[in-house]
Amino acid sequence: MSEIVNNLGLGMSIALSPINVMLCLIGALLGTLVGVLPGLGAVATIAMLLPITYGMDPIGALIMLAGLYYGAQYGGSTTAILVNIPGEVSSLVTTLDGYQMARRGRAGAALAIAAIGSFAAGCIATVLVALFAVPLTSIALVFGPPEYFSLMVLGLICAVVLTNASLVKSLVMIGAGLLLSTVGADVQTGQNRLTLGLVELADGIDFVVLTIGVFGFSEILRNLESPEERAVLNQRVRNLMPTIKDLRDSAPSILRGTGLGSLLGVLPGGGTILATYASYILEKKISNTPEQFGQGAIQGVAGPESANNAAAQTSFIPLLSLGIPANAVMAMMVGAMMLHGLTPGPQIMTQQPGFFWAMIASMWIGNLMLLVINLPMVGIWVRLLKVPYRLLFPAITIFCCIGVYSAANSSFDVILTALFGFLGFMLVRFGFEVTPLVLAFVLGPMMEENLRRAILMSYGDPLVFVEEPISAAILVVAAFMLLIAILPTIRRGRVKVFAE
Amino acid sequence: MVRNENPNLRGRFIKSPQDFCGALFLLAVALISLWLVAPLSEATGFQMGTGTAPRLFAVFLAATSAVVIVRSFFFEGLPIQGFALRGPLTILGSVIFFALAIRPLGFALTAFVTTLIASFASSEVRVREALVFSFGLAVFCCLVFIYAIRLPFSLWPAW
Repeated sequence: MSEIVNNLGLGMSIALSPINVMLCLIGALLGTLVGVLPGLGAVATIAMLLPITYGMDPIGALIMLAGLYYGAQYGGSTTAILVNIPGEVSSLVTTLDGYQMARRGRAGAALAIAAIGSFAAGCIATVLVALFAVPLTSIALVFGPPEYFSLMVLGLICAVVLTNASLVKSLVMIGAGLLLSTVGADVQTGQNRLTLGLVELADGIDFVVLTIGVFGFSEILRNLESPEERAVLNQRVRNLMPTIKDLRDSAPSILRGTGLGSLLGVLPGGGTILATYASYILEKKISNTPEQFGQGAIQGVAGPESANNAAAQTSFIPLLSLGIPANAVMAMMVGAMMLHGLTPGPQIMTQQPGFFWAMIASMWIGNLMLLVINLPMVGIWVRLLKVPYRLLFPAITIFCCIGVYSAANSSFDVILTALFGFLGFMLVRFGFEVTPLVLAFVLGPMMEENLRRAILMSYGDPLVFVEEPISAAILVVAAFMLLIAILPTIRRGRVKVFAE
Repeated sequence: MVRNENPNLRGRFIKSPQDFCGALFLLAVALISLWLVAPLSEATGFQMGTGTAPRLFAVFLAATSAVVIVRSFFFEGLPIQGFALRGPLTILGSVIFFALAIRPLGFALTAFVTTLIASFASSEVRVREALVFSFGLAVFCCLVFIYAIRLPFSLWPAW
């Protein structure tokens, strides 16, 4: 225990340096901004910002990007409550009761409870990250290539099983992502693969190019399809202090939401969206007055909002300890770490303890900042909501262009990004989700490397993955998850959960 | 997972046109990739070859796509919907303009014109507003990216 305190002290000393505090603040503010604005997601924004972080210290860069992620979770709820549109996908559930509260003149209380719940969840989840990342890391350190390969298989399977998209189609997208990741020169032999004779592709497809394409551009293309409806509540937001009764009513929901969110955040593919749905359903189920849900029940705001922030924090656990991204944002984090020459994985904690603990400390600092800054700034966010999308998307377009171009000063990359944007847009139109593709794209090179090493170590025996006990156990879990998802009764239940 | 019971789909040969077409495209990608990596080396002894991983992944993609195609004959899904070309074509056009113009035209002009072109992707565009906004945004980009972040772009045309 004292070790953790010491480590957190080390982290604090780094995270509290003026430059890092400032970067954390910038990240949190930018995050709130993109969270508030519907049609601009955290993933796309991180993709845009990645190239700009090149010149920064890796710790500062990651602190800023992490701040952006959990800041977006805060911001998304503001839009959900005031405009009845989720600013982020994960705040969809908050529209149900949050907007109803606002219509009944309780917008201030709803915003405050969302912020307080998020903060409490953020604090608890940060401690959980500190507590669980360490033992997980020590387990992961004894993992060899076969175990790692199997772990990545499990990660991808989880990501497929836990999303609401069709199972087979998500597997297809994983195949596509893995295949895309092999484009470029082979690390071992230097021979070009799938480059179509283009010199520009010899280094492989840049992570920034793929993500800005399929998240940034295709998001714009999709948003342009639906006409904008935005009715900002015209009342002034007053009474930002919740009453004692509000606090008493929502405290248990906040705790339950935090627990649920922390758990689901760790699972690959779980993430914030699933956490909010699960929390809302749980709150409604155990409530004495379930009929009030959808009519402005404060528990329906407190639970999901806490859950989504907790999940946002704990999704860092698999990333920091195992090096495996649990969702699209964590995939971006992997990309960011790689850009700065850090290989995500258990060795981060032993070789770069300062980095590891500064990340964790900064999460707490960031959450505190968000609580202090955001409530007084609600007025500004509301005004920002009045910026129409017809002005927003040209700005996003040019920022994306600059982001991609600045990464390698390559016009080819910019055009490739446009192509991926169109491809991503078409895939989504045909009902294929792009998130598994990006996860697989990130994991692809690591999977290939571990596969190669495992085969080499076992003298060419492909059965090594089932012969090594830990690896075999992981694969059994993966197979089990897949089986559960295929079984029809449970699949029906899954659909029901997402439909509610 | 929205499976609408669409009466128009009854008796159709392909029950889920979206799945069918999407998967057909990806199957084609997989097969072309397999053909492209065919000359690359196979695994020899204990060592995986250059072509092993792409081949493995392409086979996985082909197999899963094939499953989706087969399923699309049996399970009802959504029909293919047409879409307006204005948005995608304009946005992609503006991005390609950026790519081609950034070197010869310099950052300032490129940013202005790219934003302006992109504005026309929406049918709600208002010409005067778009002009003013693009100008303002270009100034903002110059200040932030050239002066504050110091990206190494030339600001004006080279001549």
